[in-house]
Amino acid sequence: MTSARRAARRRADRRRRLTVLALLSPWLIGFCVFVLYPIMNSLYWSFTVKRYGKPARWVGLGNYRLLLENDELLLALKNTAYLALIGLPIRLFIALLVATLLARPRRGNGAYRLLFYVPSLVPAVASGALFFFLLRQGGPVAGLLDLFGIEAPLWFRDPAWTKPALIMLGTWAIGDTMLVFMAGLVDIPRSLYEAVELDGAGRWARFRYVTLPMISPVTFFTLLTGLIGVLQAFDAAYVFSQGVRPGRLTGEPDGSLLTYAMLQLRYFSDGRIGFASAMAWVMFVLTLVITLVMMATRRRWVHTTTDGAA
Amino acid sequence: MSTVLVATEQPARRTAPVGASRSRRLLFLIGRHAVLVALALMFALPFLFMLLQSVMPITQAKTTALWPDRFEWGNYREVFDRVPLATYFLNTLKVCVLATIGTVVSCVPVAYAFSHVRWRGRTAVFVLVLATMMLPYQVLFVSQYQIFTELGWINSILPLTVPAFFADAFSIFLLRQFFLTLPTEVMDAARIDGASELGVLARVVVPLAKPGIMAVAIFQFLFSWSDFFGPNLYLDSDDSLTLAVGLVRLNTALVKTGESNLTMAAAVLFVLPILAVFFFAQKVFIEGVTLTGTKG
Amino acid sequence: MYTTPPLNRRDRRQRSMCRHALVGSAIVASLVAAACGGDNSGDSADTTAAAVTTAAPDTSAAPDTSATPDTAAPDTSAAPAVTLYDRDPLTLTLWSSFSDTEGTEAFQPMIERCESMYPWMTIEYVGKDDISDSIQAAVEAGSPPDLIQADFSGGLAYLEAGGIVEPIDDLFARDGLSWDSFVPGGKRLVEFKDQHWGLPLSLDPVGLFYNGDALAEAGITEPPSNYDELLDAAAKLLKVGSDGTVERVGFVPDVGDGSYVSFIGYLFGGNRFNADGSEVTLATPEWAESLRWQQQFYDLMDPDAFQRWADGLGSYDSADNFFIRGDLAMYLEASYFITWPDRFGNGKPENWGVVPFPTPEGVADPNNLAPMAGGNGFFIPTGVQDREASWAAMSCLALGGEQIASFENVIGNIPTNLEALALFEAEQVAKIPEYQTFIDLVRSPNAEVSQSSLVSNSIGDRYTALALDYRRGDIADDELEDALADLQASLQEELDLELGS
Repeated sequence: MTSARRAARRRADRRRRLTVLALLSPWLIGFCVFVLYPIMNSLYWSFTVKRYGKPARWVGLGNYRLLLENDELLLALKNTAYLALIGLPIRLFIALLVATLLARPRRGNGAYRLLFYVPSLVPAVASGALFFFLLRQGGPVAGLLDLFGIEAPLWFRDPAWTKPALIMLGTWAIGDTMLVFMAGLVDIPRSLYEAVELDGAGRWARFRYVTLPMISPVTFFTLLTGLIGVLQAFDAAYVFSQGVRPGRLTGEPDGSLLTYAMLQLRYFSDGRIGFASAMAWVMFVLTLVITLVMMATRRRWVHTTTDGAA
Repeated sequence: MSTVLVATEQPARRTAPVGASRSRRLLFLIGRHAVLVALALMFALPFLFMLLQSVMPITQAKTTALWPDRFEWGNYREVFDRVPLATYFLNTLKVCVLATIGTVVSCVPVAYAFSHVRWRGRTAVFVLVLATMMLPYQVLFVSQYQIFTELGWINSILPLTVPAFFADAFSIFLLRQFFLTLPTEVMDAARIDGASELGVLARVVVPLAKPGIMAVAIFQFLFSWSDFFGPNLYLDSDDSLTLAVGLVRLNTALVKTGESNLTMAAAVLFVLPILAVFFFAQKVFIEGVTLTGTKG
Repeated sequence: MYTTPPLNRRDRRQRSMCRHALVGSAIVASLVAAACGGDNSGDSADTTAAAVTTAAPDTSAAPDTSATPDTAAPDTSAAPAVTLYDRDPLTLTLWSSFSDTEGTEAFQPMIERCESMYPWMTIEYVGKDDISDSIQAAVEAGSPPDLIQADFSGGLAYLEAGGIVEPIDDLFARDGLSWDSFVPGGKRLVEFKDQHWGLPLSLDPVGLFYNGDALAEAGITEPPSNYDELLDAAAKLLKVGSDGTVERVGFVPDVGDGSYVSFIGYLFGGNRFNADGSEVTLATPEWAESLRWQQQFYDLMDPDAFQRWADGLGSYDSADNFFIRGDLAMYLEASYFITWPDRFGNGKPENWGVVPFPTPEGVADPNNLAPMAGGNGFFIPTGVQDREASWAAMSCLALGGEQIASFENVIGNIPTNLEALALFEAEQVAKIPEYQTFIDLVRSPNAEVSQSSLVSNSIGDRYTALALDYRRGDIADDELEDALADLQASLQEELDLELGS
């Protein structure tokens, strides 16, 4: 009896395992064919001096040791922390606000959604030009501030103001985040709202006790991809550090806009594949640690419908 | 306006006294539109700016001028003259459609396995999926180029489309998070009724998660549409190129001549088709959901 | 988030492109004294001028396709090995950085010439934006194109160290070619470690643009020809309003981005590396002196007022360009800027001109110092299917004087092939007389593109950052030498690791 049941269970287990494998197979195959080899290559190269076209030369921790002394990387990390801790919450908040207002199918909302999405599609050459147009001395923003007797800050040249300005620029391109939130909001079963409404919950309570918990997996997504985005931020910072004309990868003024991606591009331009790979792996470990911390503390802030997943 | 409001917010009407609720709702309505109009104007600015710049004469573009002295519609003709837009448009569309189909078809089962099927090591493997997003493409593309060379795929659209059929990390992650917001009870009920995992996926999860799937599709479409790096690297022959490559090549030439009005006109032409795609896609996924009434 | 990576990535690549193409001026070097002949300017120009003006607008015209091998090959070079004329048909892929339609079309006559010269040869022209990514990937994968044409100035060290390209000296000598077919600067463009890694196509010189009206208003009759005059003119041209705002700046080396700080270092005799690129040489008196010299121009103004002026400047690539608007009276810029006053300013400022940038020795003389912002050349990648065939195509392309001239008349870079240069000169100087200054600079025996090392971009970026720190006062004047020494030590460590020494 029991052995037959055990055999049946084993068979069920095997079937289940096969099902999981079948479900995962697209990713598994893709990972093994297209992703694994490049990743292992870059990990190996990070311990070597590698230049394309030539075999790699093993240097052990040589690249990593140099990175430890690299003040610019530290500066880039500080800038990134600023952008992540201040810029990211603002972006997420505005995206969520707009998504909440637009998630329900009302007349006119389609047009609104389009308007809010558009800036994400506008190429950096255009949005950068607009920002320059708006913020330069004598421009519209300076004129507006002047009405209130405030002297406009030097957005592009004062190290204290470049990052706030960059965050403002980033707030424009929230379209994708908004779309993710909207899709998450539409997913929430109406019945849950009805339940709390029966308890006499107001708008805020509904948002606080139904909406927020229900979209928390989606919020986790926007947070993590947002973080990766900030770590690899390049264009806006680069456009911004240009001011009037294109220049070098220095993150001027005073390195206030220097990002990891700029350093990365610099080392790649020199063909220093080993060194650049080492830096990529340092950032990889850092991102992974942050991700794991976020996942470990998920129970505090992520509502899940299944066990353990966040 | 109010009829729409009533129709969608019936529960609230049931609970609150009619009079008080009406004035409060009116206030909310006004507030909502005030916020939206103000925000929408701000958000429309980059596109309006781009539009205006695109029809300016070269002596006006990127100056303090906000309104064109005269409307140089010829800028658009100039872009058409310099870039074979029709060919590039069709090439781009081909890549976008294939990659989008591939992404949706491959990521749905994977994301399901990572959200609503229980198995040992799930979290660890999922972290591995996430980890693949954390290395910048610069450290990976040369090795990938090697693989595609071995496969003999260089100078074809295969490197741009085939990998999409093998589930990328970003789309898996996004889809999985959407799946997690779905109620497990419905799936368990289906399982008790004897549905296989594939059956649950096809008959319960996919219909419920349409908005999420649509979002993933939109992202992949936009990514393929705007991808410059891949096509520039893998496509050689001039008549196989995509719009993004054509646009960048035009811009590279324009940097030296400073014709930013043409840059803007090309950018408008580049953005308009995806705007249309977005507009219809969001209509389908938001309004489609309520029509089918799957929720609740 | 994932948000805009699509467009972002694209722009990133494009920007890095701009960085190489335009502001490569900061990569510029000079100052290896070398005197070669190569002085056959005027005479050939007169005879060929008419031909070029008719050929240029319609490049597919008969003369190009009907060109026989004998007439097409420049007489300065001997005929290539006979075997090259008689072979099995072969298609060669050429990757070019001129990737847009205009560039592609302008290139065709050069290709047609070679295909008619070598009937077995078919050249497939492939435009590649950001060609250095593509070439690295292709060489690493073992499937390079047969020929590349790109701006790798200042990047030869990395091409060499990576084994991306191979020297051509053996083939060059075997075919009896002579560097006298090119300006001396063209030879130096492709020169590294005493070998030549390709054949030159064009150079981008740099000059001092001046606003003649502003100069006249300040009572200056001649553009400055030495540093005392330049500083004096800058002081005289400076206009400060009654409220302390800067209204016009006479001269500054750059408006805040540090784009020419390295360039000026070269003028003072600074070199970033020793000759073979194995040692960083930034902690030298020349570099410190060049920074102190530049500082004098910024010290003419209140720093805050200058920052506010700079922040109020119009967009660089517009009719609001500071030179065109008269906000900056004298402007250090590369040659492509020459067409901008006409294009954007409808000819304003009216009496602008351009002179070679003065040197510490004094006279602004192209024979004295002629640093270039960059240059284009042809290269044969490592591991091509048939090196002989690639070479045949390359030498033919690089020596097609008439066809190069018609190409550059569209593109606007200054050719290094002497026959092409003469034709180009005749056409361009007739249109914009100021072109003469730049053409003379390219002809100069001292025309020079920077030396490179395996950490060129790191050096360029970090030196620029140091220079801007010093300008802001973050590095005190008496700490300058120490700061340079620290930077040199740190960069040397990076270079040693790359070199394995």
